[in-house]
Amino acid sequence: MDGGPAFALHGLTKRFGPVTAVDGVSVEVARGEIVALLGPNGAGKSTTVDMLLGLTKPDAGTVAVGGGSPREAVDRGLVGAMMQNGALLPDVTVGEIVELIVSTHAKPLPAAEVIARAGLEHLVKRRCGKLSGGERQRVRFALALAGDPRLLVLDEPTAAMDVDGRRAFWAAIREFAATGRTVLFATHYLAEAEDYADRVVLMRHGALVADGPVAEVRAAVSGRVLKAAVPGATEAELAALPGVTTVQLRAGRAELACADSDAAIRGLLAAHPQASDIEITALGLEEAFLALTADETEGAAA
Amino acid sequence: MNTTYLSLEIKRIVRSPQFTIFTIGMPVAMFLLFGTIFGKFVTPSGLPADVQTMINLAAYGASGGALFTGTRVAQERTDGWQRQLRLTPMRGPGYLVVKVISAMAVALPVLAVVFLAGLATGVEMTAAQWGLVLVSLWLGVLPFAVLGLAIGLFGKGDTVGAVTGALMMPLGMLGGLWIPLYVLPDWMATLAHFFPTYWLGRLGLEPLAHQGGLGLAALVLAGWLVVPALVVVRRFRLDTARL
Repeated sequence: MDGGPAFALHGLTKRFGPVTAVDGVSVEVARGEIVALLGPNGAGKSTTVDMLLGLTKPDAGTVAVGGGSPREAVDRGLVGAMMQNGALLPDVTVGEIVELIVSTHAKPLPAAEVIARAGLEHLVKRRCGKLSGGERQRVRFALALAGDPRLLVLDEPTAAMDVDGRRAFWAAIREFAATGRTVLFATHYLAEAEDYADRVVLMRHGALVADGPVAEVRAAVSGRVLKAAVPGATEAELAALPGVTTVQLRAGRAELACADSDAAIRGLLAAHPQASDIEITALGLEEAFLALTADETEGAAA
Repeated sequence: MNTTYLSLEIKRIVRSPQFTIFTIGMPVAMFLLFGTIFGKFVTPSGLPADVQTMINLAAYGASGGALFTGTRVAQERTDGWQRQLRLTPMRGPGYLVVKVISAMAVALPVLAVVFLAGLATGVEMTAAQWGLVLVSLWLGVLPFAVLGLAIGLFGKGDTVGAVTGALMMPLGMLGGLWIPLYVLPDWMATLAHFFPTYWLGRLGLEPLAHQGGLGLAALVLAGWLVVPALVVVRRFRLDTARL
């Protein structure tokens, strides 16, 4: 993983029957970045993560992790992953399972360090079957750290954690990332992406809709909405107006999502002077996120 | 091979209630029951009945324990543990080898406990015979470990447990390990040849009663090893490709 990107996805596509779960996703992540893969449930985040890790074969496109295939990266201990609902052995203690996974790696972190980083010191002798949801997540985190990976992949890591657990978890991730490692985490919590990522990759219906620094994605997604009654206008006409990104037209009332609402209003009044009852509102990031990722079509796979 | 994984697997098996109660407890209890019933009665093979009963039930316990490997594998498949292992450098063959060797390793204490019960109740063999019977039975357990694995790669945890439990009945009964075949009708003695447990029993008796069947028993058991092994390899490849 010297010099090149931590990982690179090009034109990644995965279909499950008639459903295209991931649709031509291309992302390149440099070493040391903390990237949030953000999107609602069913956006294709988990499938993307599975392909990145070599657990699922893409139908099209390529995956390179540390310059090699995902399997090579796993074999070399370059990548560690924490999967949603990743299996643990219920009859085995936390200490035993950590030692087991450590033993599979060529250049692992010492088991004691793994335990300490994941904050599991007081649970070493507890069997995995007796852990709470948040504790299980921390064990999965420990297993992801075992190989001392350069790239850490986390799929919905804080799903079962309470507020304190989340804070402690992200503190541990930051500490780990501070040593120049790369972190990719999939989440559907916007706040988590905002608070902890340097960069946000936004997915929706299997496709990438925005990619950039948090501030940039915020600017891209948080435009304004122009609402007006425009009798006689068609959707196509409205969509062609400058500065307009999407159009919704119901009973002569238009809702235009705008990247540039100034251009849009000038264009609208020039083309449709009969437009009335006009209002322009700013969207917060949260609303913009919801607007961008709202599930309009049924049946997108997770 | 990953010895940390192997020793953990052995620990897991030994500390499960299933192992103490069924794998060790059952054959010992049955030996104490049948051994007392048949006593020193001399069987048609010229051996005292208690020797033969002990060997048969040691074979039953050890083969049953090995077969139950499949239940654990099936449960781990259901839970997605193999998927977790795919995020480590450990490969499929490494996992399968640990499963087979741990099954073999825990067959030893099963044999030892039944033999101790035999010693305690007055079963007599020369030191060489004790050793040879132990080694023959132990090696003969290998096909059962692989067979268990093959079954385990096809079902869910609960189902495989039930199937394996249900299989142990005919394997013990019809294979002639529970009740000696010479007290059963001829057709049952013929039927027994179709069960691997029968050949394991023969293998165990070979150091005592030279019926000239060592080569044949070993050959048949080798067949019972190779076929499930091919199934395991094929199935595991498909399984891994689909995950």
